[in-house]
Amino acid sequence: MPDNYKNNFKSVLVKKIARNSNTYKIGNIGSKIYFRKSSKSFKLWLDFLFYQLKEACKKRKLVVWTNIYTPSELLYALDLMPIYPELISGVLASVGLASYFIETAESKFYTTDLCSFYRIATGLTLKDWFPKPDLIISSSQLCDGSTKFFHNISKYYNCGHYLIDTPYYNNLSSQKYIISQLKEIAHKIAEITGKQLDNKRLNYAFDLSNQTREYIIKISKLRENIPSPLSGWDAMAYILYMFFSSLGTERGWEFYRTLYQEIKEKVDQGIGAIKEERHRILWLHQIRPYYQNEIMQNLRENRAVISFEEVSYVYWSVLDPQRPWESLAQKITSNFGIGPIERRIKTVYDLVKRYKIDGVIHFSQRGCRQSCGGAYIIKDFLQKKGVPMLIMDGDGADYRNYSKGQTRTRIEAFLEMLS
Amino acid sequence: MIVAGLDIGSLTIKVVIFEENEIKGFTIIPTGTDVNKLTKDCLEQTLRRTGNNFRDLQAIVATGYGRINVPFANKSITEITCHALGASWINSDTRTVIDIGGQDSKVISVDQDGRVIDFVMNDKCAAGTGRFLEVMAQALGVKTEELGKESLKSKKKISISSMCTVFAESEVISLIAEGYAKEDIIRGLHEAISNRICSMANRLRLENSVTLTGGVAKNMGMVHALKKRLKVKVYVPEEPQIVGALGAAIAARKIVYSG
Repeated sequence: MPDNYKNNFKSVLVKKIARNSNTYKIGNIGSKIYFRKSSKSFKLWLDFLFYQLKEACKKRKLVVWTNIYTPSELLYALDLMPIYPELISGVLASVGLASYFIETAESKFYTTDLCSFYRIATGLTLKDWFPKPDLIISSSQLCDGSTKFFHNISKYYNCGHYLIDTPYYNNLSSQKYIISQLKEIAHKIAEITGKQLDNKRLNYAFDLSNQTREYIIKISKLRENIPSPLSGWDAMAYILYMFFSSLGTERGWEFYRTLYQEIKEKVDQGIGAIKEERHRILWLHQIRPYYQNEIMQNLRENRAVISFEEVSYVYWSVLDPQRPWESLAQKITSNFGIGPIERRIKTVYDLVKRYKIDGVIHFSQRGCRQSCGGAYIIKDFLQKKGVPMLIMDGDGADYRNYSKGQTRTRIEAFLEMLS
Repeated sequence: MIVAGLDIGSLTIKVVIFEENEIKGFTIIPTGTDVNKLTKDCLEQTLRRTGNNFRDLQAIVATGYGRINVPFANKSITEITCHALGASWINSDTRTVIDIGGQDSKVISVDQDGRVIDFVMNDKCAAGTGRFLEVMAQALGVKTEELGKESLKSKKKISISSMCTVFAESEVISLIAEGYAKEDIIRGLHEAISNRICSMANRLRLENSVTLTGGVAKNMGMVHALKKRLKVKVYVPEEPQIVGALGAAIAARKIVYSG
C-alpha cells in the first residue's frame, strides 16, 4: 500500500479512536489499574480528566476550548463542556508524546521560540484528532501566547472565539469593561443554545467553587507546616490541573476535600514530602517541567522541598451569586500576575515570609514573556531583603530544551549557597 | 592533613593535592571517554609527584561536570562553590570570580570567606568558552595556547557578529579568505567573548577585585580584552586552570576539620 494511503488510513483511524468517548472510558479504567497504588486524590484527577474528554466526545453540551485563567465557574454556570488545550499539553509532555505534536507545529512554521505548550496544542489541532471545539472562550491573561493561539484555532475550526480582554490596571473602569464582556459572552451563548443563563446552575457552580476555595485555602495553611506535607512538584502537576479547570464542579469539590484529608493526615503524623527537609523553596512561574527530568531528584538529594508555589496562591475573594458578574470580574482582575510587577513582588514576598522560605527558584519558561520579563526585578527586590533567588532557564514541555547536567549544576550550586 | 580535590571538566581533568594549607602538587590531563579511569590515573600521577599514597588522603572532593560518578570521592560539590573557595584562598580580596571553562562560563559573587552570594552561568550553549576558542584556533591554523600572544599583535579592530561556535567558525573562515590578519580576527573573537561575559557579569553586582579562573584565563589576549571591558581590577592566578580542583581540596579539608 503506498505510504500516503497508509498515513491517511492511520490518521483516520487515530481520529476515530481519539473522538470516541469509549476510548476515554477505557483509558480511565486502564489508568486506574496502572496507577492503583496512587493516592485517592490522584485517581479522582484521572476520573476528571477522562470524564471531560469523554463528555467532549459525546457532544451533549457545547464543547468550549478555553485557557487556564478564564474563570471556570462561568463556563460551568453556562452549562458548557470546557477543554483545556494548555493542560492537555502538559499531560502529553508527561507521557512523552509532546515531541510528536511539537514537530507537527514546527513543520507548519510555528517558531521554536513560541511557548512549548502552544506548540503542542497547535500540533494537536493540526492533527485534528481531538474533540473539536464548538467555540472558544479565552482570556488575554496571563499567557501572552494564548490569544493568538486561540485566534488561529478558531480560524482552523471556523468557530467563534470570545476573548475576555483584561486591562493592565485593577480599577473600577477595568471591572466595568470585563463585566460587559462577560455579559456579552453569556448573551451569545444563550443565542446559540436557545437557553438563558440558569440562575440555579450559576448559584450551584459558585457555591461549589467557594467551598472548593475553602479547601484550597485550608490546604495552603497546612503547607505552612514544617516539614512541608506536600511538594510543589505534585502541586504543579495533577493538582494544578484541577485548580485551573474544576472550580465550580462537584468533582472539583470532592477532589480538594479528599486532598485536604490526605494532607491533614500527613501533618497530623508529622510526615514530610521529603526526608530530612533542610531547604524550603518557593517556586515561581505557573509550571514546572512535565517530561521525564531529574529536577525533583536534584532537589530531594539535597534535602530541598518546594514548600509552596506562586501559582497555587488563592488571590480572589468569595464569589457572590447575587453579584455574579462583579464577582467573576473581581476574580479576573485580582490576579497578581496582571499589572505592575510590584503586585507580583508583594505576593511573592508575603509567601516567602508565610512559608519560611530559604530560597526562591524562578523557572523561566522559554518563550514566556509575562513571567520571565520581571524575574530580575523580583530577584533584585528579594536580594535586598536577604532572600536568595535562582533564575533557572528551562522548558516546561519541550524536553529538547532540557539539559540535565546544566540544570543539576545550577540547582546544586544554589542549594550549596543556601547551606 | 592531606586531601585531594578533583575537577573533572569537559576538556581536562585537574587534580590538586593539598597539605595543611598549601598546594603540594597538581596535574592537568586531557579528558577522554573513560573518565573514571582517567580521573584515577590523574590522581595517581599527582600522588606519585607528591610522594604520597592513596591511603594518605583523608578526604577527596570531586567537582566539575563529571563529579557525580566518582566512586572514591567522599563528596561532590559544584564548580561554582569550588571556584569561589579556590579563588578566595588565592586572593582573599576577591569578591567576583569569573570562570571561563571548557563548555561553561560563570560569574560568581563571593564574600570575604569565599562563600557564594550569587552566581550567573551561560545559557545552554558553549559560545564564548574554551571549546569555542579551540574551534576557532583550528580554523585559524594556530595552537590554542598561542591565541593570546597572537591577538596582542593586533592593530585593527574587527567585529565578529556570530556567537554560535559553528557560525562563528564560518565567519572566521570568510574573514581569512577576505584577507584579514589572523591577529585582528583573534582579537575580535576575544572581544566578542568579553562582551558576552560582561553582560553576564552585569547581572550581578560586579565588585573589586575580580579573579579570573579556568583554562581560558591562561589566554593573555582574553585577559586583556576582559580587563579593558570590565574596568575593575582583574587578578589572574599563576595556575588559573586548577582553581576548581583547589577549591574542591579546600572543601575536602573542611570535611576533615568538621570530623
